[in-house]
Amino acid sequence: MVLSWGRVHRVGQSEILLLPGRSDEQITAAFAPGPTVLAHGLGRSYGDVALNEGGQLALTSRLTDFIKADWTTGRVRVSAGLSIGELLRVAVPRGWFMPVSPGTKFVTLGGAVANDVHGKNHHRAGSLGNHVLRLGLLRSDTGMIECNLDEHADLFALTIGGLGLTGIIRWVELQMIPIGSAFLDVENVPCRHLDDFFVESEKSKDWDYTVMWVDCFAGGRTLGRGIFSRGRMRTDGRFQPHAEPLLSMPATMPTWLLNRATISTFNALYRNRPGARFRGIQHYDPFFYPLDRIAGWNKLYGKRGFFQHQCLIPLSAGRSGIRALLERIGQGSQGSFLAVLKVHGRETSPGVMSFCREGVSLALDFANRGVSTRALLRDLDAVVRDHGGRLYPAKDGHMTPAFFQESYPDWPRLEAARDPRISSSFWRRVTSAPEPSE
Amino acid sequence: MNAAETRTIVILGATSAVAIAFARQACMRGPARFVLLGRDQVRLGELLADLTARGANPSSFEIAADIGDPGCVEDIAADILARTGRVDDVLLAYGVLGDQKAMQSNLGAVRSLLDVNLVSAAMWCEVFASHFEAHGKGRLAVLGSVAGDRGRQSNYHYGAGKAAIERICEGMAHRFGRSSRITITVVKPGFIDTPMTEHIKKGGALWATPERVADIVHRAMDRQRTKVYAPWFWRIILLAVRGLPVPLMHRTKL
Repeated sequence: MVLSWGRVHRVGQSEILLLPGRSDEQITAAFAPGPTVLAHGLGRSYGDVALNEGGQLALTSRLTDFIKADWTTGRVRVSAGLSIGELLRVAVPRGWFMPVSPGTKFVTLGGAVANDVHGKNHHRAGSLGNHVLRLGLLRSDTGMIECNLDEHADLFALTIGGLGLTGIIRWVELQMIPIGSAFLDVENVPCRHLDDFFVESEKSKDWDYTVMWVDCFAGGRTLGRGIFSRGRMRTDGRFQPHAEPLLSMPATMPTWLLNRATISTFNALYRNRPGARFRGIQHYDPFFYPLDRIAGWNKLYGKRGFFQHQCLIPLSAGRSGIRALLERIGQGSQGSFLAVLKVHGRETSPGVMSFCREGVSLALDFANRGVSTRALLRDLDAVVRDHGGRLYPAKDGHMTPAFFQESYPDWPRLEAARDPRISSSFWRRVTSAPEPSE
Repeated sequence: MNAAETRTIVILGATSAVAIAFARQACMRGPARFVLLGRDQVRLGELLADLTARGANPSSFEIAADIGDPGCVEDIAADILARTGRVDDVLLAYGVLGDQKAMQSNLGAVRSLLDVNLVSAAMWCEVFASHFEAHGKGRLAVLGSVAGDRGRQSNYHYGAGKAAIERICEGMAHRFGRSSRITITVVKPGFIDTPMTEHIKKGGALWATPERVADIVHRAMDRQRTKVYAPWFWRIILLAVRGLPVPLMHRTKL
């Protein structure tokens, strides 16, 4: 059964493994009248954006061809199923890197575009859509269609962050960035409270990469305590790519292991580990993708899986919004290991439905404990909504249609451009008629 | 291996999943020029573009032909040698699984399966063995199968072809036994998660990815091994399968 990374949604859907050399026919056949289709890459989105209950999933992970690459200019065109990791393995030794990279390299380029992913350099580089030169889509009504900022510009802008709904993304043409090394100069700075975070973010604007890990159980005067991390690429000419994952989670862990006591212990250890004040040189792999070292780390959250909650709150309301969210989490017994804060810069991606814009984002994850977890998520949503923020569809599995439609007012444009033969569980959920009580 | 030297690598059955992984890994390992052979012209062209982007020498080329047809082998081989001059490595990765049940009542199907998996394969091996012998240097790797280790009701024609080609390579390895510059390697994978096995339910520890198998092929060639299971645990499994007494074997549906 195909699951998304959160392992919460278990839905019935048929799967088509797209094969190189045959995928056009396979997709065309899937477009024939019947259940709808949705492209599915490496399953790293957390909720239901890449699921299609009662429909078909076209699995793209075998479509890993480079179509062309110009290593003098850093322009590459790759099949949508190629992962960022494999792209880096080829690009890094030639002195090129992803212009924008999410927290895992195990995502496909197609999925990265469909969710218009962002990374630690958002304040300088915007989200991935900003670096996409051209896209190839296969649609049920028009067939193969290419788009960029000039040709079919509307379709281009709706496909970036378009959740895979505007056609099956067949290839992505990307402008990579030149690097002088596969290593970064990194500084980790402990922050005593939330104000420190904003101070450090402001001070670090000229660093390429910034992010903060937050101890979500720290309250009162220590609310927002954490470790601020910043990095910039070195120029030492060492271009070694990453290696394979070291460890893998053999089985799911019992959920009861994750409680206030264990997470507090983890947080204390994490905060006081030697690396918490680390200043030095780090390879891009542990810096950008620390969790990739443990294949299948999502099984840590047990059989019932987990929810991610990532919001973005506009800058003006950022401080009070993040404070309110951390206070609400502090009240409950359910903490989050991976609480991550980041100040985003102005959004420059053409994506109409892109999540990112100027503001502060907070990413959290919570083991699925059923009713109480959903209640917590609802409360967090209310805080985000009150502060004029919104949630990241790639991580969402619970937001209400009313909240989605309010915070993504352009959604009818995506619905209008959606391929009639493509749909997803997420899209049907958030575009259904809001309930009156919402 | 001199890393700066461009190796000319011939891949027979280049569109198979293991072959693709093998070629991509070869690009990471050092300068390489490819000759890609297979039947699907369009797919070969895509692969050539893929490998070129990954660093393959731009003089790489593809030949679309029915390489499993024994009648074609000599001419195509002559063409390859004429166009490349010298070949360093050869990977023989094509083959068909066949439909055992259908072959039991269709003698033509038996013949064509063995033409592809055995007769043409043996000819390719011989052509390149002679080429290596003439130049005193070269490496041939052949994808065998664990199915060749014991005749079983479910796929004995396929298994027989793989067993025979393994025996041929064993003999060739013996023939070049005194040369450390010519190596003949048979790699015997178990279950591989590829389009060839698309119809079979997958999952579990026994299934290997094409990338893993391809990596084993590279290592086996580098270490000049003559016979390798991929992954290693199939050696133990097959030891047990071969050792199973006939009366017991006949009760199974293996």
